[in-house]
Amino acid sequence: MKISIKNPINGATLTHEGLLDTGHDGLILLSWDAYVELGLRKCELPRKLWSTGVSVTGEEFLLRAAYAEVELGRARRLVLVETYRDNVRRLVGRGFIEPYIAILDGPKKLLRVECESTSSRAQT
Amino acid sequence: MLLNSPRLEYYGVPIYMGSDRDNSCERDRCLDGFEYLNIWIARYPSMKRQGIYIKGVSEELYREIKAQSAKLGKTVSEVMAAAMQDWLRRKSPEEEREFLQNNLAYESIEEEILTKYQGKWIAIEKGRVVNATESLNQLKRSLGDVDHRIILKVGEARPMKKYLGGSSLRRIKS
Repeated sequence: MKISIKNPINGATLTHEGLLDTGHDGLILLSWDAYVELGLRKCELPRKLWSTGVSVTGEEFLLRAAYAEVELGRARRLVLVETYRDNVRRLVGRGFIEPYIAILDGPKKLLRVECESTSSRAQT
Repeated sequence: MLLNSPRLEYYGVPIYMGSDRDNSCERDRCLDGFEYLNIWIARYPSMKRQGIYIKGVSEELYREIKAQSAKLGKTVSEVMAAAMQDWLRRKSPEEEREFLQNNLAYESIEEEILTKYQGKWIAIEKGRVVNATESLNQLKRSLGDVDHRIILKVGEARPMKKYLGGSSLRRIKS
């Protein structure tokens, strides 16, 4: 299953394979290039409302945030997507799957995400 | 004279390298161009092709770029053009200016926005609130052509601390 991210203002869309990171408690972390490519600086939150990202090594940095339409299967949600300058990672955070049922199948190293109309699996 | 004997050449295109240590008086007299953020673009009327002179680049850096380009099967000019386009894309002065203008405007009238437009969608362009609507779709109709814009559902977002990293799970099947 792919995740589509759409700029709600100009309609620019980017599709990529979902990479679920249960250690990221945000919603969606985009790469800086994807953020720029989608033109999300034209629908951005004020910097005063940006969250702070904390890396595994304890470094802190501001996360630019913008509204985007994210499509997972047939479910479409308007959420805040984030990035920081020169970030190359694209993550789907734990916050994004909160409305869904997520079943972790340890022996098979699979994660099953179920929403109303569709489901998908992920592997560690 | 330097123009007749370039030190470096790539696929027949002369590339002039310079550093502060170079004796560049003669070369500078030959340049007919302009400086833009340490990049000189010079035209050479005696030649059919244009040459590009980048001031202050060390030969070691050039050699490294050439070696890495070759590894990727690209020409130096392709790599340099991509790097310059990338820089321009990242550092659009107009976007930076509007970013500051919009954010300073928001910060100066934040209290007013929070009381007046609570629960509404607002857009800030060129330092002013252009509209406040009940939905994002309604808001779209009033937006202009700008390089940076703030869009906000008032009262919804708040800054938090978010942890990045941990185990990543790759989605493999639909």
